[in-house]
Amino acid sequence: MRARRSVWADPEIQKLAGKFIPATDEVTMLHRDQGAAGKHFRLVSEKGHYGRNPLDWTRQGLYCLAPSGEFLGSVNSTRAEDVKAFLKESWEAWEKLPKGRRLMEGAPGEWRDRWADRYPVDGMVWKVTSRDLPRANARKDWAGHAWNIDYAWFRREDLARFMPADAKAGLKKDVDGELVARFARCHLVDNVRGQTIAFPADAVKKATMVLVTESVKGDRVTVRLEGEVRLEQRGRWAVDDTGEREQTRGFEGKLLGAGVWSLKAGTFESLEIVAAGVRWGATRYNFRADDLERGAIGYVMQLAPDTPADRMAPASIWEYGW
Amino acid sequence: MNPIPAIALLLGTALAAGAQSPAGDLTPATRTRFRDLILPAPAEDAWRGIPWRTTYWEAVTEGQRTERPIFLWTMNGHPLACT
Repeated sequence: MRARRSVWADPEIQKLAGKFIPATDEVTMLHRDQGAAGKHFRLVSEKGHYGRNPLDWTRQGLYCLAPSGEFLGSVNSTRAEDVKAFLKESWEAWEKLPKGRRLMEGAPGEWRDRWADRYPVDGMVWKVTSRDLPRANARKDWAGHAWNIDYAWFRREDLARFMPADAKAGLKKDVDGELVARFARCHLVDNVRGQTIAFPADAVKKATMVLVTESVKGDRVTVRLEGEVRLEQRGRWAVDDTGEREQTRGFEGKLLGAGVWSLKAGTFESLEIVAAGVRWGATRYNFRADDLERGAIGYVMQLAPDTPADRMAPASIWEYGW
Repeated sequence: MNPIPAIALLLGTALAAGAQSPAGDLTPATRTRFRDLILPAPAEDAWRGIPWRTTYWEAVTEGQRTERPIFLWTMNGHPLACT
């Protein structure tokens, strides 16, 4: 996540990356995959920077490879200079690689994206951006500027849980509580500095969203959304390398949004919701061990365009029960 | 300066005494200003200018077809979403 700002915005790196086919993937599932992709990746990763680590350790980082699985280079760094050197050296390795070793023999095996068939084509997807809100004691380094993205998915049948079919002006409707609770515990999490996990169901102390129809003009219904959320989890877990301790984490805040619902399409034409509140506590990999006290945080939920890069599955999709 | 007035200054709003959370400042009038504080600036979003393939195997298959090398960015959590 740090690299989004420190590495990939660099024009020289963008140019170097353009010599290759640039790819992204989630490392844990890729490394453990028993199909064609996992077997091919391990040919490369086991020659890379973490290749000597036990097999259940992460292999995250940057790799260059030939389609055959020949290793060209690897590094795990968020420093632009390291990445430039790695890309240049990898390109030289590709140019030196005999043509007979560049491609795999035969056609690539079959492999399916793990979540592609769950993408709600006829439903709704929100892009959820999170960031700390300004404060006087903000860190001056990357952590003070950090932000992150997740995607929230809703199936077609979920849309009716936002808006009744016979919408008219002046309507005030509670959005389905189960849906709001799922959204809150999976997406109003503190992922600003790094990965975290969803809150458990019993951490949801309050999760409400009210939809108010402000006007109806032909097919289009202008709506306002207001909500309140309080999440709190207590227990024993580690927030860094020093072991497990009694912990608490949570979020408490307010949601406010506006949008236009199409009666004909049965979905939102436009929608934007902002959440603001406070978070506290940490989890093992979200880099908050030094920042456990209450701090201001905000989220923006927007309708995601249907592009390949915006088809990423929710970070906690297994919590959806789909 | 404590954290809450810092937000008030940016939002141009007054705060209730003793407020602990910015939630009280989120109103229809301030919603878009909160949004602008949270969303990435164009320079922060420049990484999306690289035409990332979204899976490893998609890139390998394309590389096999076009005889080009692959550059992979792989993280705990998908790099294009929550990592």
